[in-house]
Amino acid sequence: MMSELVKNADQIKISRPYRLYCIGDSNCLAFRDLLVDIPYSQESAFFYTTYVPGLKAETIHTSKDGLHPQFKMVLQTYSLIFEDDSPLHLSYRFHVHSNIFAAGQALISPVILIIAGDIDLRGKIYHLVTEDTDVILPDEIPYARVPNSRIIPIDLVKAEIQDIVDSLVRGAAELQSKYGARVFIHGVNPPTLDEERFANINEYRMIASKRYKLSWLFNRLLEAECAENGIAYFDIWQDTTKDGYLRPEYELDGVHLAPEAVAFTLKHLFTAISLSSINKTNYVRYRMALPRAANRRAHLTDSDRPTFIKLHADTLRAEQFVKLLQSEGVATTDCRGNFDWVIATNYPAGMRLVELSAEDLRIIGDILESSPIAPAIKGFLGSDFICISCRLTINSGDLNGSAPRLSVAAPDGVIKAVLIVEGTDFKLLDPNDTATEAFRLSPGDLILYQPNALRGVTVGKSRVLELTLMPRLAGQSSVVVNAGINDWPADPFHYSLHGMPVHGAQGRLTISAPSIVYAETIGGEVTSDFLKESRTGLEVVSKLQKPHRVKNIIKRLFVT
Amino acid sequence: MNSRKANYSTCPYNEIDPSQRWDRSIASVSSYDIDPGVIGRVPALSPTTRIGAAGSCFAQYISETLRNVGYNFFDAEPPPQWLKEDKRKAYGYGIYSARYGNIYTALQLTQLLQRSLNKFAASDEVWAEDGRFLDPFRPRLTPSGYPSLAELVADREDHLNAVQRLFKEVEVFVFTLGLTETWLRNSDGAALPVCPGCGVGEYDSKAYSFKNFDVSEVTEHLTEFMSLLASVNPNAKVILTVSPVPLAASFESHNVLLSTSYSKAVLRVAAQAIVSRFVNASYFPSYEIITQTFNNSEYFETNRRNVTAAGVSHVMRCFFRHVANADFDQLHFVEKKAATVSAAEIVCDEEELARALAMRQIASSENSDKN
Repeated sequence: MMSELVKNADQIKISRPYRLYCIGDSNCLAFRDLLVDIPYSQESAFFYTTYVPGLKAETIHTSKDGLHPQFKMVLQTYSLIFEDDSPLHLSYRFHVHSNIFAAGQALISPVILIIAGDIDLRGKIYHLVTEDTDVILPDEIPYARVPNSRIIPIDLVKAEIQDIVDSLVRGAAELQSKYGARVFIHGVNPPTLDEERFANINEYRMIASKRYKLSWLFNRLLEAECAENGIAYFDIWQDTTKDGYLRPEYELDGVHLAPEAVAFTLKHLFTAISLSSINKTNYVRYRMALPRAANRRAHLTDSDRPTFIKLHADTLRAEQFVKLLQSEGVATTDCRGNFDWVIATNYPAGMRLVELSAEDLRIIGDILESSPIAPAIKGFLGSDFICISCRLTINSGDLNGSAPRLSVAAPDGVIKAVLIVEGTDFKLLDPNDTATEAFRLSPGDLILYQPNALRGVTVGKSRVLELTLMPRLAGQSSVVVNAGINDWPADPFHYSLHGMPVHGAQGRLTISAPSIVYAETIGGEVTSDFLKESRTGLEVVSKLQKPHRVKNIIKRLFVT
Repeated sequence: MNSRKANYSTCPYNEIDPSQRWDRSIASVSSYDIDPGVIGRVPALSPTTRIGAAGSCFAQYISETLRNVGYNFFDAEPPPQWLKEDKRKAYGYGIYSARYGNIYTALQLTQLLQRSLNKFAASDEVWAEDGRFLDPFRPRLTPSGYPSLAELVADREDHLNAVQRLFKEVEVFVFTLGLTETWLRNSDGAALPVCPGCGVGEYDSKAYSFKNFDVSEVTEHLTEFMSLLASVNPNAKVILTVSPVPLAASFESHNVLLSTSYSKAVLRVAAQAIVSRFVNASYFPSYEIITQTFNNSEYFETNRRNVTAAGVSHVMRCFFRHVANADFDQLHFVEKKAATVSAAEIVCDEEELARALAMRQIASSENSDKN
């Protein structure tokens, strides 16, 4: 075995997945050590999961103790913050960047998924509604009232839940504001349906309809509070319930959902990540990249370069490019402010982003690298380049008269470009918000501009390809990065180690669990005796009736 | 001319009880010790007697005090055990024996009992405000109404079941008569606790009518209540009182002081008539203790309307002496919590009228400023 390994050592493939951090109650164990291939990319992500036994949403942030120590511990354990409590990814210290660069790590805002609330529900919130009482949800949510039960005003129950929700969201908001983390809150899962098992585990009875109502209410309050505080929220009720109740195939053990439900969380999480914005950008990293640019020419600073240059379609011969982009007919994503478009008022309901396929990105990469576009960009930038953000935006013109504006702040050494796919008016605004240049552009025209020298760029009804370009590091391959998990600005350093050229086609979500250890749910060392004695462990096995699933679970139990 | 010597030897007043004489029971007694007693056969309360209460806002003093001194105050619609004290009253729990809020008129009380027994077909009218729903019979039950019509309907059903249980199981029911003026809903004759448009609901002269009951009407309403109560609970005893709190505002076109004296006189007479008619009814003189001249109006606060804590204590002292054969001051020391509540803790719908008038005054002064 060893000899085979040595013989094929040069074939060892390495990858460095994104780190995703998950903190929560036992429901987070479904994500322990998950390795996930991210759709529409060659990227993968690995879950660093911290299970906090007994974690309550109510204690995540208290006025007395502040943020729950476990959350800070995660940041410290994974070196995401320094001893002085400052976040590493926003550091200006040279040696930090140097070390991170050497480690081939992405220096990005950490993604933290919080899963909490289940213990609050079972330990406190369910007790608000006793055996002889019930609640009626607003909005005609059709959960029947238990006969002969007295109604408790829903407003009173909401007020009690709100206190708990507030703590959870306060904690998330602090992670986001103080540490610059990207925080995602997972709503509580639909309760399991097995009444007897619920009673055995929790030592009290509560019929399913009441548990559903209170869980649903918890999620709605949580969702509203998250929206209020700019925290991303999602839950998987739509995916796992039918007629408002959990589908039997997702029932596991009276508390947790079956592992199959994990896929739904991932779907929502990656969607939420792609729609989220990085509020704080570490421009230092980009400045540090400048001296390392490949084929660097002397004038690499912004002051050496004109504010913009305009290249005409007939010069660029970009017909293939334009034709490709014009054929993209389906708008898939609402355009949001975080995608650079800055519309202070009149949210751009008429704007959409087209999600470019991996094949699109590959073609775009080829065209960008071909003549005469590549020399044009290289001439303006002053070095070889990589494209760290690329997206096709459609402005249908239904914007109540306000022209969409591209925000232009960017790190030193980063330039932007707009390729016109449909003819449009185009204006460059100076720092005083005055239009210094106005053009009528045709399909195939390309504008390269220095974002920091402008106040903004506006376009009319059109579709345009937005590009963000920065110097390519020595030894780095050409890269075209869609705004995906990294959002903008995509982190070019992450790709430098692996030389990943262009995002490849995947189009699927695959999950592997190299070391899911169910023993984590019960704690302690996993031994055969322990398994025999462990009620939870035995229940996990006995719950799964299908032979192959039992085998899988047993295997997972013993792999540590 | 020789004056004739008066002969009192055969005067029937010679045999009257000292309490029947002003000089013995009022003029020569310290204010603190004045005790007018009761009228009728009062029930003998013990700490285990199931006591219910309803009425105008003054009735809250009685219900809260009974609860605070540890008597068996009957709560047919109790709050959730986890409910904090600050929210209890805001949602109408424990103020009375069920969450019916203030009941100002005898007709309102009678109709409540009738509704609980399905003997009064009230309209399904609901007031909607800002996406919330209000029950016209209890418009201030919660801080901002119900979030859904379904909850309002379900809660009303629960409430009427609780009211029915209260009247079927109560042993002694204390009712404080408050007003003769009221607003009736034209469609079904229902007496409402508040005038629509004064803070809640919307006034519509075609839908609602003002009514000021006279003695015969109030007596008739109380008689109907007593008869209906007896039909479901023959052993129930009733203690009637009259609220000493003056009207906040009158819809009659004369001074509110005159409306107050009319209203209290009518209620007092009607109460006396009921005590004469029903052996299970008695009268307790809250009204007299607070309003009579022996205390030089010291039982009213500076607004001459709210009753002082000393006044409430005097009332409860007399109440416990005659109705429970207990020393209220001793009970007071037994409990950790203050035995009586302050005026600020009383939930008073009538004060909404004063607020409505104040708002109007502010609006008109703002308009005159603009002009």
